[in-house]
Amino acid sequence: MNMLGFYQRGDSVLHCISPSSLVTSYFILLIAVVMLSSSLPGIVLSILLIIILYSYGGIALLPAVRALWRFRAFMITIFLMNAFFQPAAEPLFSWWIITLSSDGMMIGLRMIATIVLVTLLSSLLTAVATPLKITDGLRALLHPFSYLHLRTDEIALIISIAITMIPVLAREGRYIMLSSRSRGFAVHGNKIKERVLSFVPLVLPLFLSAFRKADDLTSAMEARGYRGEYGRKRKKVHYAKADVLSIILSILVFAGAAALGGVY
Amino acid sequence: MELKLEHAAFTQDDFTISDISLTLHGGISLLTGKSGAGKTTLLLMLSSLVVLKEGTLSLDGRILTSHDSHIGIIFQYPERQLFASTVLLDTSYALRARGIGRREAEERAKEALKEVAIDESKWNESPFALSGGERRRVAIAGTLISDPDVLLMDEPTVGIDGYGYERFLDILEKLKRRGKTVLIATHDENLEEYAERVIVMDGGRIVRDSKSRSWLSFLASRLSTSCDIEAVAEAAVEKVRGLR
Repeated sequence: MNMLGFYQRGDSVLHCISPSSLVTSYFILLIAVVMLSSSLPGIVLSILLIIILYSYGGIALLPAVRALWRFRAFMITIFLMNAFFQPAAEPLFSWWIITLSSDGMMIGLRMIATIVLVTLLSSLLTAVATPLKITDGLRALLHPFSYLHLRTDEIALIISIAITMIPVLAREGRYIMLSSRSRGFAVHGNKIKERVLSFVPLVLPLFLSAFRKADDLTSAMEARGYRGEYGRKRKKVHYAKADVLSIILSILVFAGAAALGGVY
Repeated sequence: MELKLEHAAFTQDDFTISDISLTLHGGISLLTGKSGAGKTTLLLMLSSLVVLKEGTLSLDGRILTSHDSHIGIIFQYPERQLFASTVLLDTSYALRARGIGRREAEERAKEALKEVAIDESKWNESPFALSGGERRRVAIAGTLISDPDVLLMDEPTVGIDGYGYERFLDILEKLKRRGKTVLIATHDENLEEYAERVIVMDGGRIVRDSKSRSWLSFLASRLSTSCDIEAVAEAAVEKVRGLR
């Protein structure tokens, strides 16, 4: 699968870690990667970390990178916006509101690196854990907030469903796009309003599809007896060495990232 | 018109079809095979909507590098692409998008809607107020309005009721009479009696490409439309000869 966000069956170390340890490690590593991506050596280290994690998870990295390549236009836009519109003390070129600067270019590159690294890390999580496992992990992570009368179980479920739905809607969006192109879709007019309206054939069916899916899912859950999380019995999680190790390693990476942040 | 795919390769969602060749030239062909065999991917490759990794797609000898309006495609559940406030507006979208005036586009939309048996009283209704089968037919009309010479359909009979199915068969008959090239990806064996050719896929490859074997169904369909027993018998003999 080169679609980001799809679960891939396996029996790797990452597949076997308990939900709460996996999600906790993910969040620790996520913060570490964001911190590291502010400098060039940090980006290189993050890439190495991602390669190691993917190989330990038994997940092919190349298809995920290839899937990200589809968003190149978005990333180039981010780079150009930063390169040409960041205010700078020593611009390379300046005219009207446009200011080209090396600082702006660096900020753009860092932003792209952050997006790519965070997406790859998140994609790894969804590749090694089923939506149910992610929900269990989030639930465990959010559990302390339940003492503040927050409905943490429901929040975890909503987040998990949202994660699951992203690739499904992306695929649906692609077919709607192709279908509209087959019918002659084009962006018309010179006025902004006309150009925005020409996207209606793409956006409206996608929204309708999302609502329909949400509706179907609600009905299916109710039909299968879901009445909220209150009072549900859950399996007791047994922690193994791998769970403790994953959290310790994640904290070490985080500490390393924090230390490097001070250096650069 | 002849649509020709030569030594083509394409990857979608990590599913790769490589070195595939197929020529379509008139008539109705069925594309069958188990789920995941690559039927939808092959339709996409033939649609000219995607860029092939290798190989070429040509229409009457002309190499296609971008979408050609002579090729129409109806994806699975086409009713999900509906968006306009009325049936008429939705059906005429393809023409308006190509810059044809609203009046002319609506006139042609009316013709297309008549062809798919959508009652006139529903033309100014919201497409979302129609039944599932009607919505499917409105979406099909939205593609037929461009009068494509080659029409690709992905599982068009999935999830439609008996009446909708009958109307779909009517549409197929009309397309056949007009000499259109139609390729239908389907699991529906009943459609075989309308097809001249059956292409079977497995694992991203064409494993069988033959004339329709359903000569009994062919005989039955001919007998239901003609009283000339001798002519029907002759046609049946020809068909059986063709199978050998």
